[in-house]
Amino acid sequence: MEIISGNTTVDIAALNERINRESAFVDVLNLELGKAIIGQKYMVERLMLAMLANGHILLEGVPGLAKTLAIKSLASAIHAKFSRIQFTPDLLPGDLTGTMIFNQKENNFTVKKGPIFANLILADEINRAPAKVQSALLEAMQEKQVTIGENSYKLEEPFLVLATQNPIEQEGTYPLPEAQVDRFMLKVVVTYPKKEEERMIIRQNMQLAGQTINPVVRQEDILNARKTVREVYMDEKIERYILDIVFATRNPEDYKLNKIKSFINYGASPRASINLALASKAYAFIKRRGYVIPEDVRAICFDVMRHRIGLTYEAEAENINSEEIISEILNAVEVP
Amino acid sequence: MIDMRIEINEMRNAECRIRNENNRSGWLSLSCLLVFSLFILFASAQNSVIATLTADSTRITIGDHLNVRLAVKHSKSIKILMPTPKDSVGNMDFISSSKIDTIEQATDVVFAQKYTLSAYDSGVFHAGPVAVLYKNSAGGVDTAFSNDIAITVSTVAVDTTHPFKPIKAPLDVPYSWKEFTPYIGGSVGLLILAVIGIILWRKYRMQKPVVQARPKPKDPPHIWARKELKKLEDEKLWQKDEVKMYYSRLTETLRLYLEFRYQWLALESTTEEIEEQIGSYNLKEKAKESLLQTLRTADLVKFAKMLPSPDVNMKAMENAYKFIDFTEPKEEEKKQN
Repeated sequence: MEIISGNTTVDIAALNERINRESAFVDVLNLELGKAIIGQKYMVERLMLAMLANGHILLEGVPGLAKTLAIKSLASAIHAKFSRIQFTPDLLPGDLTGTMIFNQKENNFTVKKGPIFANLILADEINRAPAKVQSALLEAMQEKQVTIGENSYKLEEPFLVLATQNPIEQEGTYPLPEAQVDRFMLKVVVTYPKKEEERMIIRQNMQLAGQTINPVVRQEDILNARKTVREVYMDEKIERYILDIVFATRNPEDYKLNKIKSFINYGASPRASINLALASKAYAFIKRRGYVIPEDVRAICFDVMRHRIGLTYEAEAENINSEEIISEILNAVEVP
Repeated sequence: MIDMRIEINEMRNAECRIRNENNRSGWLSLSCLLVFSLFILFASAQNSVIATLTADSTRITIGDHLNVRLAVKHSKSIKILMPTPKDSVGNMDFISSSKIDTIEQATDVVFAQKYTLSAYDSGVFHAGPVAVLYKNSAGGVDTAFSNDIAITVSTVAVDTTHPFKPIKAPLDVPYSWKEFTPYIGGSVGLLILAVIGIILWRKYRMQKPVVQARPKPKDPPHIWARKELKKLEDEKLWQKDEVKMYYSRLTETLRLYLEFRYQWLALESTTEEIEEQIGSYNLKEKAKESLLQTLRTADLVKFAKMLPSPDVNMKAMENAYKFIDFTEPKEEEKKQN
């Protein structure tokens, strides 16, 4: 296919080339992660997507689905500092962010930084800790800085929080408020591996020596890639498509979706539009494209939107979840 | 007023003393004294407040209403405060009062007010005296009292020879249309307002929908699609540098054709989804390829700012026609429809 030269066309072509060059680490990273994680390609892809889009992920899945392994491996592969925080009901905000400790020798207070000062954080079972701890974490996620005593400390980039939630055992949990869930760019539902994948997992675990993950990507590569992701071209037709999807969650009747109107308590926030656009660009980057196509939007739409749509009691009574609502919306909104 | 009377009495006494002690005084002195007395009397009359109480009757039956009128006459220079009874006037129960009437005379003013009084016991009652406060010429507050009226309140004669009768039941007053008219009018008004509101709201909602219903063409899908493609060709969009519009219209026509021909929501599907969907149909590879090539080129034009050469633009149209030719219903299928 011939491409007539023109300023804009050259830009896209140049961007495509740059993306091809800069996204090369994605394959290397995938290969390295594949040594330790079998299956869970979807989760790994979403981890990378969040890392490139500078967002955070909320993972929902039963225990034992390699959530911790995935993020630990990712941290090792990009030579980043990793922290795992097990959220419990007796956890205090200071346990997370750090605190001032009195130094008897020097007769003054010194700062003891908490586990949040890392590049990749695994906030395990985030809904087990009380609201004040959740709020401390989510504030750090939003502001990318932590205040201890009178001083504020910037968190090191890249900073990615991967929080997990257990969909079962809801007793004694503190569900995240809607406003706080909204701060996660993606909510990914992790499912069981396929039979064949699980067979491979058994075999891998029978080996005496575990697979070691080598650092294959520099942090600078990730930070550079983040800049490029923001430059990925998004046509106004795609912007309109994103807006139509988000607005359909707020005013379904405007999109001939009267049947789901009674199931939606509140629609997605403007943060959903921002994250949908950003995640689409990151997805296009992973797919080595310098422009976003509707397929990109649809591919990440469920993960961006599922925690941002409030369901009514009627929906719960009818056993309708947000995924079904998103499907209805995607089937009703015209693709540009 | 009392002071004035004392003054007048003193004057009279003085006059007597003068008369007794000096009978020989001349007519001139007496006349001067009389003129002076008259002046004093006139001056005192100038400051006087006269409150008069009159009643419609002096005899009422227990519980009946009695109208009593209080008239307060005073000179214009005096300020008075009309009484405002609360519970009683004299020892009679106060029911209500009228507005104050003002009658202006040459040098005086008369304030009049009616009181409705009643008594709930038999005997002699007193409607008065009523005290009226005023400011005298010296600037002090003084009181003028009205006269008192004795009212005889008689009770109703009870014939004890007859037994007591039970209390009468409430009267059953028949309803009239007049009573219901305001309610009926109000309801009709509200109903009209509600209907207007609903119509306006619907009109507003009707204007709002982003997604419009897609009417099905009267022609069979392949004929309709060919007509649309012909129309697009005639508009010569890409020749006018409206390449993006050209491909948008081209793909929209193809997507709608798929929707009308195969009954699935192609307009809401991405190129990948269309590829997946047509993969399940028993179509020639050439047909699939011609459609997908057009859609992919269109995606690049629409989303990646690609500017294809004129050959590519023409080829896209050619492929669109080809796809319709390939997928046009066969004779048997047409007959079945």
